[in-house]
Amino acid sequence: MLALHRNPWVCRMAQSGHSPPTSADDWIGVAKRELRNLRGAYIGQLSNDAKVDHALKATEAVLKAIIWKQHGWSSWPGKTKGYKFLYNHDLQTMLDHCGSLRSRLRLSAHHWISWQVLANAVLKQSRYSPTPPPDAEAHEVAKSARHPDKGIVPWLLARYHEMT
Amino acid sequence: MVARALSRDDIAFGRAVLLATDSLGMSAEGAFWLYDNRDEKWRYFLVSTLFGRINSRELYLRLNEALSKTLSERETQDFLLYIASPSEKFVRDIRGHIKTDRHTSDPKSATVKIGGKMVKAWIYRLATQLNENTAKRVQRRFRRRTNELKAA
Repeated sequence: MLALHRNPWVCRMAQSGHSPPTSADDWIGVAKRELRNLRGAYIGQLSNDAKVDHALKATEAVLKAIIWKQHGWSSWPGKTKGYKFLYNHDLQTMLDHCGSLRSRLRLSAHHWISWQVLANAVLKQSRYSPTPPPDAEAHEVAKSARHPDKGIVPWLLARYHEMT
Repeated sequence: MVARALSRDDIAFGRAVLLATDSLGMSAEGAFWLYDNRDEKWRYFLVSTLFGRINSRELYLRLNEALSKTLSERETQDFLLYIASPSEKFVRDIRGHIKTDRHTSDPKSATVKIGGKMVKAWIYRLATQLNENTAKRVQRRFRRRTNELKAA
């Protein structure tokens, strides 16, 4: 089962020595770190769970960075009404809080497919299917997150850097 | 918490999606809406043995292209499709409550137990997993028909 499912993220970061993000750029740092961890998971031949976990966390972190910048918050919102989606691994609702990004994403067929694969994976991993994904599916999720031309994380990072 | 009712339009659209996949020769073993109490949302799942046989990027690509041609673009624009394998635990949990034949598409309201929690559902179909030979045939047919539809 994914650690993502068991523990609140911030607690896990505190346990692992990472500080909770204090700015949108900090979330970008988390996303980049998770992409490096994903690469490391392949080099180290780690479990499919680990690969999927890093891919999904990278995606979620860059979405959080965009939301933070979009809303111009001074600090990360607590788990209160209206912000629960930030704590529920609900990628779809997070995307809906990223301005016009959903409609831009739909214009690129390959990026939209990557989004569907990741949204499908995170929903099942965090809600319904605590079973490790097979090799092929883990690879699809990883590719959908990190591929330089088709991956969601590089695409979202580019959108983040376009924001003023 | 009381589940928000699923609209008649959504119930009808879910059936239209299932029938559209039937016309693609997909022979989906299941299709249902599940209510997520945490997010207070209904989500639509298609259960197919092709998930796991065809990689998920290709499966979504073929379905996106085909559904945009067989259903209206307006209908598919905001529609989010989740795909599961018939062997996944939550699908087996639901099949423990309701089992249908392979061809039905009539929606039925139900409350099912998934991972110890009671969940509201609308179920169109939930049949047993295809056997290996049938799955191979379905895979070939699905690829052929989606290729034909793309070329048309």
